[in-house]
Amino acid sequence: MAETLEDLNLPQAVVARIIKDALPDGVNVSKEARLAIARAASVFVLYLTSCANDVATQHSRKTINGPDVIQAISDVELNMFIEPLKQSLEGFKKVKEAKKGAAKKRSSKENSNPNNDDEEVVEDEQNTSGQEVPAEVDEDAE
Amino acid sequence: MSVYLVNTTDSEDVDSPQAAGDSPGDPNKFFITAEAQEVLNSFWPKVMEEIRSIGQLDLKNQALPLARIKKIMKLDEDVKMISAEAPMLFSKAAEIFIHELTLRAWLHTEDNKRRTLQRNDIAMAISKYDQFDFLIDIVPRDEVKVNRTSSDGTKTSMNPDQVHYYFQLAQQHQAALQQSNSTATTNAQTIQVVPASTQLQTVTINNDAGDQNASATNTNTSNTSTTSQVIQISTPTATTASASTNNQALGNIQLVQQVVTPSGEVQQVPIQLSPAQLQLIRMQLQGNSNQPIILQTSSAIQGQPQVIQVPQTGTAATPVFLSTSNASTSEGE
Repeated sequence: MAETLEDLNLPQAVVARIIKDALPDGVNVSKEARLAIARAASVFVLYLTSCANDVATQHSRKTINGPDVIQAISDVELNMFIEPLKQSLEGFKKVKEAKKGAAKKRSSKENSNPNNDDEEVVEDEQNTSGQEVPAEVDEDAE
Repeated sequence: MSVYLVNTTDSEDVDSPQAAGDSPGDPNKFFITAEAQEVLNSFWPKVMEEIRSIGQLDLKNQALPLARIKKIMKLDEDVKMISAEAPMLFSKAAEIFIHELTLRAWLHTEDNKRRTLQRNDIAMAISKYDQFDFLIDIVPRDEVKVNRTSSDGTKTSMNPDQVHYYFQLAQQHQAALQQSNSTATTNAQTIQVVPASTQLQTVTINNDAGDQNASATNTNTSNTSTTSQVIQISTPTATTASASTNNQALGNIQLVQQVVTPSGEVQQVPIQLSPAQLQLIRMQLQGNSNQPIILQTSSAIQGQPQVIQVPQTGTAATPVFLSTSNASTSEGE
């Protein structure tokens, strides 16, 4: 659902920055060229989407997931893209796991600390999990 | 006491070898320094790594907006669901893509010893790299663009499709006319006059010069009536498969005026040209002469004199301007 045509373009400023990063200092980029690159990038995303969707469909899945994208990249023979993207995917997963881990840690902390004290366990069982945290922190400090 | 503590820490931190020398029999102290040193040593790489990963994340978020990318992806109607990592990967991929495309375009900029990346460089980069084939239509080469603008400059421009369409029209009329017309012409050449509602006339000429693309032409009329004309002169060539089957190569021109009556009917009025006039026109069409030729034609049926001006600018592909004057009198009917 595109409201306007501009909505489908990638933001100019970001594209301009990426272009600038790619080129050495002192090289200028004409406005037309920037526009052409931005448009090309949009089309590239669309093209890759279609390829990734094909991959997902082949595996009789409805959801395009990360590996599908990487498979699509290799389908369109942009092989030098694969390695950075794999790294990127790994990084993304790591961040996700870290977030999950942090959440787990917190919940496990809630459970593990009371084990030191029998009374606390009873208390814990009585309490609902959400309210324990501040109380425990206080105990740790003592 | 606190002063003493500060002193010891100072001596340890600032010059630990001296501290070690002062109390050589204290391995515990030395161990602490080593451990601290180790932590300190590993601290900065660790921090740097963290910062770098943060920077990477920041860039990612800052780079290409995931929502926008998702929107673009959703343009594909076949796409049903998109997992969270997909837009992230697309954003990264698009970033690499822009990088790559820019660098490849820059090669062409350097080739031309320029300092500014032009659109054409990108078009070149795309055309030179097979993997970017899908972009050929997105960023077309400049030649195409120049063509387009130049043709836009003329009032009536025709692309080959249009010409072909007119040509087909001409053939249909040819066939129709053959039946109704017994004017002893076997129409190797047909001039078709189709009225339009404007003063300008569009004339398409497909002549013998071997060019299959008929040239788009402009005609001006001094026509004062509301009917003006589209004149189509099609000369079947050996190379065009569309040459009429009943072409007996006599080379006569059949000139037909189509007049649109107010009620919307189309009348076809044949006009005959004398062989000399036809010859003149043919020479104009085939030859390379640049001068305009004024033909005095008298329409055989209507008895109205017509002046047809046919200046041709050389090759077959160039526009031909036909101007007919005092044709108006005959068209009122």
